[in-house]
Amino acid sequence: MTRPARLVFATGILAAMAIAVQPGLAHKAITSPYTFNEDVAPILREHCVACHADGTAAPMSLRTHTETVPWAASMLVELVAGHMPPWSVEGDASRFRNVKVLAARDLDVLLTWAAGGTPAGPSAAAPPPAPVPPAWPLGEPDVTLSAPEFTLRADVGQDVQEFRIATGTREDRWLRAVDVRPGDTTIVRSATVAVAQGHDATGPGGVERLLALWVPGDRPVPAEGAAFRLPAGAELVLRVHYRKTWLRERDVVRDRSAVGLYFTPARTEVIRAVTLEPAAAHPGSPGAEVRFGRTLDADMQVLAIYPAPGLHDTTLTVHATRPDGTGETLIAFRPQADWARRYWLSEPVVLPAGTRLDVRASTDAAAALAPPGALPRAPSGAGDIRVTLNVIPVR
Amino acid sequence: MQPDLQPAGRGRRLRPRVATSGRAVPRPSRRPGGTLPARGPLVAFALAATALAVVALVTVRDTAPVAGQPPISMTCPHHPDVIETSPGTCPFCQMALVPVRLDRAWTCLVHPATIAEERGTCPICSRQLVPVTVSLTWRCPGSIEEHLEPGRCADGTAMTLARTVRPHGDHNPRHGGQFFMAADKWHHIEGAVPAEQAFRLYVYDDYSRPLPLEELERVRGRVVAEEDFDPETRTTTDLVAFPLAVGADGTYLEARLDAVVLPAELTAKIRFAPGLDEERFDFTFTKPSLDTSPEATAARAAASETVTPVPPAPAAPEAVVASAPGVETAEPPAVEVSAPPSPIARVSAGTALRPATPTVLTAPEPEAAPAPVPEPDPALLAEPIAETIPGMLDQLRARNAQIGDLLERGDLTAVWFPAFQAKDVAIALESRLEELDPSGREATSAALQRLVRLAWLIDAHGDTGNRRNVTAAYEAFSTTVDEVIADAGGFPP
Repeated sequence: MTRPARLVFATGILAAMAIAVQPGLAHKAITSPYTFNEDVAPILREHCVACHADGTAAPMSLRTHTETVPWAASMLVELVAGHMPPWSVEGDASRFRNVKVLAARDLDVLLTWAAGGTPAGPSAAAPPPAPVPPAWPLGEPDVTLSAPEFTLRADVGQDVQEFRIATGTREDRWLRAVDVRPGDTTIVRSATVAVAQGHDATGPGGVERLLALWVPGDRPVPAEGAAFRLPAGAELVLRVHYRKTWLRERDVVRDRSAVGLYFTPARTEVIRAVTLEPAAAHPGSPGAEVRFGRTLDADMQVLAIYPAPGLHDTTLTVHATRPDGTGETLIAFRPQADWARRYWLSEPVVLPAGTRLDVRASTDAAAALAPPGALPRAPSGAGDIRVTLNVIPVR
Repeated sequence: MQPDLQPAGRGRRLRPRVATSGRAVPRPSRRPGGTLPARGPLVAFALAATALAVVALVTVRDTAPVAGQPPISMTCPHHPDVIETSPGTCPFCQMALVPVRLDRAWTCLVHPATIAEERGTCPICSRQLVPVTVSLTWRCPGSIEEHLEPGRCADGTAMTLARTVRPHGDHNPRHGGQFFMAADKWHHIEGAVPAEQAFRLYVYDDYSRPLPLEELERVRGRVVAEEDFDPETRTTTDLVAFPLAVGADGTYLEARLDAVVLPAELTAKIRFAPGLDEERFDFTFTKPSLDTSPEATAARAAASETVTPVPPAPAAPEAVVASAPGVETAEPPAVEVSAPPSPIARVSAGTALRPATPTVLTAPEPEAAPAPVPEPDPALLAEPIAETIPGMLDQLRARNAQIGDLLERGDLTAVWFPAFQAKDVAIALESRLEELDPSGREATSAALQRLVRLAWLIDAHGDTGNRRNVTAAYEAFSTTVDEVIADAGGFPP
């Protein structure tokens, strides 16, 4: 199908959606005891509509029954595949501060409703509309730095752009948080903010340059008892992944995203990066397992952990074994491409010098762990196998 | 428009199986065992409600053929997979049949609002569109009244055509075999091992109507008796395979096997049309397939009235039978299977399938005295959720074992039942989390959520008959059950 034809077709789809959801015309069997207004809408309101609303990166709104019904089959697949909500950590969610998980019952309600005929229920039972999320969830930043305007041409579906932004600081500053505000929320799919090279080299034990990993719907987590260092006169690199949804496939879209800096008033411990990656290239074959690690040469507190952006369908387990033989799993997760975020530990984990950090990474049998109909978001095992721990020294 | 959606001959029953007495044959449960209490009644009731609502809106002005449109069929408001060519009553509920104009369209598996006349890709996600059965109605702006033929509205404008996806048909075997659904949810297959050492594959559409011959001839596949799987590379090599070819009467694919020794595990690897991915369907046969279709039933009845010497089927390899001392072997077929000589390629492999505890396949004995009713399989019985937490954990443990047993038996279409029972226990357990020691509460909560997701995943994979996918989902499920039980150690007794 040609692009103009697809556009016409897509327009037709929108019209068809409006028709298809007329009351009384649904031909699917109603087997769900749960209705949208009574049971489903409150869950969507709590967990989903911050992103799944008009004018967001998600190409569908899930605010009302009419809007949600056409996406029920898609919801079913995405939920069973574990793609949504985009929280990759397995196990105890309370270990982390920026949690996005559904309760077991809530998940079952959504799936049962989506598979069971998508009944509407009494409109009087519908919860009030969710408030519009603020542009800056942490409040107005201390400094807002705008990137240059970028135009995504009509014939380009996705692109990655890097913008260098001068901070103009005359002395070293300490940041408790860095956030990104998309100029056009419908095309900014993910973004990172880093201190440009030349100010501090990042390496084992080096100062962390990656200040933010931004994904839609994520609320930045302010560092506690530690901060990112912003060297005097530093430049920031804002790297943005743009991707159009089918709704804007043929549009010319302009974006002018901004970076928000939140300073911490007092000088504090600088967050450092401990990177773990295998010596050899990833074998790539599904099911293959890679083990690698390193030993800490100083006492550290682990504050946060993040995967290499782009890593996909690879299950990673980071285990720490202290010199006294005690150990704990710091994180077990299965990152998804485009959903790389920094996982902040609720309680820092103290690891003495001599602690062995071991990473076990295995590429999944992705097809088996997703239901029929699920599309891979990226090639299985795509991306570099790399895990970074954000640490501060133990004083 | 696809003429194959219409009945092949006027008055021919496409779906319901009707006994010679004219009474409807009770429909087997969608799920095996016949004891599953789950979806059947609820689905039927709900389906009836929605279908009635829809039918009430349809105005029939003329059921005569409309140029360029598929003909009118008659369907049951309660049982939409009953499709007839002439008015009558539903063989299941005796309701009067109502008219519907059926067509084939193309839709997206996950974006069903996409309905196209031709194959193509989804404008939303670029998936390949898959075929689906739709009903055609025409409407006027602002009206919910549906018409079965095009026409003009009161304001003189032409009515708008609407294609509405019909409910999916059931998954009941028609020929006593095992029934699976392809990934496109349009193709359905039934594998059967009748008595003459053949594997038959019936290929249906989404209403279990046999594919027309021209489409069946495009299906390529083989049945694999032995294969080697390399977990390192995750590649599979066929060791013993038999090609499938169109059977003599053009309604199924068939592979001739030299010997079928039960229980047998056979994998059909099928490409439904050129350009589509090959799909695998894992069958396990513990007994010969008793074809309950009206044609087979009539053929058996006719055969039983004719005293004709019946040549025995080729003997199974002696070594196989002799290798299992103490195992009862059946007599040679007492009833000739009505299949005429088949043009299929004969593959001489001489391979006995699964020699463990073999029973040589023979014709079933449909006329034999009724066997005692077997004990219901506890895996397929619902039970109330335990009131105590240890009781719930015991139930999780038991359901987990039952899924493993069903998987071991190759009963892939039944694994959903204990999985969903376990899922309900997990949700009940979640509501008791506050009783757990706080240190283990969150870990248990995460595991319970994962358990629910994996139960749904087991259900999804079970329908499509891929044992490896079900096994992978089950392994994750089983590990999670162990986590829940371990984490729940903090629950008070």
